[in-house]
Amino acid sequence: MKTEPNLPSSEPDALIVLKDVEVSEASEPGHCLIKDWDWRINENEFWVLGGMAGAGKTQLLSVAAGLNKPKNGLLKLFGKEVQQLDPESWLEEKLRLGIVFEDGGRVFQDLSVFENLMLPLSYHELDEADKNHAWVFRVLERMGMQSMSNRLAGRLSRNWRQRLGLARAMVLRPDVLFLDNPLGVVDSHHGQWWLDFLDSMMGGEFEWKPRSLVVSANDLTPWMGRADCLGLIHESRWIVMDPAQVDELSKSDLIRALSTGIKQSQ
Amino acid sequence: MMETAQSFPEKDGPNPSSQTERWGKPSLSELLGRKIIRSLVTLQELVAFSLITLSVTLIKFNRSKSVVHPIIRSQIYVAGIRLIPLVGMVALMTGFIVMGQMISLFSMIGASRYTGLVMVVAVFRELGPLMTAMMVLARVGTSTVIELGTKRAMGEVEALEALGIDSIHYLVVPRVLGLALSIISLTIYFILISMVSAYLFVFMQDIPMKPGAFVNQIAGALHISDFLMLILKSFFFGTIIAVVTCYEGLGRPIQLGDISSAATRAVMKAILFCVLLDAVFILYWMV
Repeated sequence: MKTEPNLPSSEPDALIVLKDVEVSEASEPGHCLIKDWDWRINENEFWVLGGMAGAGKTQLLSVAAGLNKPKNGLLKLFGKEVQQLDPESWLEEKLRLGIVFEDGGRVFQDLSVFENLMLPLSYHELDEADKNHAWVFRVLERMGMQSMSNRLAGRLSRNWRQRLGLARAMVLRPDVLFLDNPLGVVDSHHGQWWLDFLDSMMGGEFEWKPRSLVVSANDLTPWMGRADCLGLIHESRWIVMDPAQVDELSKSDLIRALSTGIKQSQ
Repeated sequence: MMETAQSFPEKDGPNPSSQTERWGKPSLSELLGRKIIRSLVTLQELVAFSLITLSVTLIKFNRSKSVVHPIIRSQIYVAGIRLIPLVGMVALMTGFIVMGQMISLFSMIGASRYTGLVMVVAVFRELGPLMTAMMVLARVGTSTVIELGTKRAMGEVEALEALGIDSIHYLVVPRVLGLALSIISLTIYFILISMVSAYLFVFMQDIPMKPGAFVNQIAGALHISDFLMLILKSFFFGTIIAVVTCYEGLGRPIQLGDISSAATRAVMKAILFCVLLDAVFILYWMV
């Protein structure tokens, strides 16, 4: 177990740094989920963010992923303070972060699978159309969705929509990829596919991999052997643990509660 | 284990005075005051939303052309071309029932020389733009609220922002431009059909008026400012409908169950603002 707090620093390998950040409930700005939150995501780290349902994992991820600027505190993306960035530079840094939303990936339901992936590439006028098409088809092939490229995203099952959400986040080749409870709505067959795919991607078997990966989960069981950093949010407290310290982890009631595979609800 | 001790902020306990306020019966002046304040806040938000949309339109019009311009064209198709049969039918009825009868009445009382003036005032300045705007509001405005409200409720707007896509640029700007251009075109179409059908009624009633005389009377009553005002009025009606419906769908967090009431609010507000704008134009013509 780590004895030193995971304090932010300005070392060059820190991809994302949060210091003294306050995060509130999006729908209820007065409800503070966490205060004075310090977190640092370094190069080549695989983080798992655990917590009970409703603890605020999604809100924490959305701040770290640059979706919401923090109300208070410091957020640094790739060494740059976001509060001091102009809109153009902010957009540039934001595009280096990818997020896959929970509960079906929030895909664009009125667009086809192919259009879902092409939209961010075309909108930002990245690369040439031919190269983009080829890259999108390679991603779809790896997702096992090539035959579905013309189907409307809204017609897909939640399992496939969640996978499409991953594909959409991948097409922009982000440096840090955030997955918000990716196994939350998928069945066991698709869940195993996710774990196998993430293993192979982080193992370098696909032509692209993120520099760091962050996954949030209600159930830590599938992630314990995979992640090398563990952050927990519980009753507005941020707790960092080392997943390698199995003996210490087994003493924690919270870890036991999050590792039973039973979904908790508050 | 590293822990950062945090204390959960205590929620405020029940406040007796606020409880009384909550359950006590508000007076008429309180109710009226609340209503006025709510309306002013909404108006302020709408103006802010319009200004943001205007600035995004000006700054980003030529950005991401391969994505945004096809959406503008599709909006013109949805709000313009697909409405041609409906607008044509209503224009035909208006020309036949309202204008045709009015002209035949004028003829009976020997006031045929006012036909052109009445056509211009009634159809060109008032009925054409307003009726077209109402038809577009009913057919396209409501579906815009539902479409955008669903996107907002399903989290697609956050997904757009996560991909660095400006939701105003991608969702609102094409609708504003599409609706404004469509209403201008449909209004001109409405006026032409109304005039033709009005003359058809006159012709069927055996009223002695030649087509050339009918057209000459209308042309004589028209001024350059009428054309300019027609374009401006239609453009602003389209803009109002698009901004109000987009604001109700996108402007604030919404649940799926609230979308129908948002659509109703949008229709009421759009009608109110269009009528107010119409009143401003009437003042211009009167002065």
